[in-house]
Amino acid sequence: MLRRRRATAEHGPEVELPITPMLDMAFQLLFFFILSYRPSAREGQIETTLPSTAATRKIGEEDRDPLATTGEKVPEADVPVQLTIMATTRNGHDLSQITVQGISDAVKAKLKVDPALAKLDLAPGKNLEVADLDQLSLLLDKLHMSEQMGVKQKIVLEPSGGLKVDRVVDLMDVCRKAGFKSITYGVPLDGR
Amino acid sequence: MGGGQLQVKADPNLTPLLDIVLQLLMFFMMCVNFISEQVNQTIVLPQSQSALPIDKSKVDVIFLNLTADGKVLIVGEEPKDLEQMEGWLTDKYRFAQRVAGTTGPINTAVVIRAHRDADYRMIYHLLRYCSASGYTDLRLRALTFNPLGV
Repeated sequence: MLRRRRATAEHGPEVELPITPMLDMAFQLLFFFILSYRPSAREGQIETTLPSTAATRKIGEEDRDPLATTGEKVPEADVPVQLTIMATTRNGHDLSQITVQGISDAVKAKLKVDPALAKLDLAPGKNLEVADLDQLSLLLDKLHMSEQMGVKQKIVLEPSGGLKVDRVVDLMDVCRKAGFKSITYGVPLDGR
Repeated sequence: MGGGQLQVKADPNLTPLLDIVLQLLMFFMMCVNFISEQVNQTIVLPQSQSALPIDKSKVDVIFLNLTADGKVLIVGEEPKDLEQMEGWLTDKYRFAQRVAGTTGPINTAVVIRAHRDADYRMIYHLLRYCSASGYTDLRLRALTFNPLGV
């Protein structure tokens, strides 16, 4: 016993750190941060432009891709350079009518032979109407020919003013999925 | 020698448990986000398949949160009507030009977070006001598409 006391005296008293209260506090903090943790949905961004004030210029003017390698002159009637997609709605959420402008009769004649577009009314001299977004997607897939023709194609969206943003974004998604990169927002269909 | 009972004292070793708890604590402290980037949680964004990852290269960004009933919420400001935005954006642009000491374009992005039930005309007007004020870098926010729908 005397030897143990001497050993203690030589090395100093043994200090024991009580970890239990520290663990308690750590648990308290952990519960707080677990309860305040809220995983948020991931946000993305969509590049947005309005038509320029020169939007009234003639279709085809200044729309040629200056980097186009093809030396051939592309007949304007064969390539829909600017498409205008108009969409109306009854209640803001449902698309009641989708009309596509800017397709020449020559292009329509080419589309007629495509069996996938058999349901569309491709009569010359009329605006093209599609039933829903799936048909619009099929049509735009056929109309997208920027890379082949070296022409910068544009789409102007002109939905009704009352159409909800959700549906406008769906329209935009269809256009982008078809490969169109230049998509702008036009004046609301039913006026400002 | 007496036949006394041997008392065994067993203390659990709490140190490794404390290590793990502190690891978890640090993880959740890193994940918490008290200042959520000037965004308003009441705005439910539309979902888009073509939404791109957010470009955080721009330092100067203005966040405009558009509610379903056409009010624009800006952090640190009173909720504004759409009609008030034209004047507000113009003033903001001119002020930024004065601060930058230039009369030319300024390098500011405008991020519009529109509620999915807002009307298209509201977005159009807001974009028009931004464009008329001089802002050229306009971005719409949307939720990136989640095929699981979660």
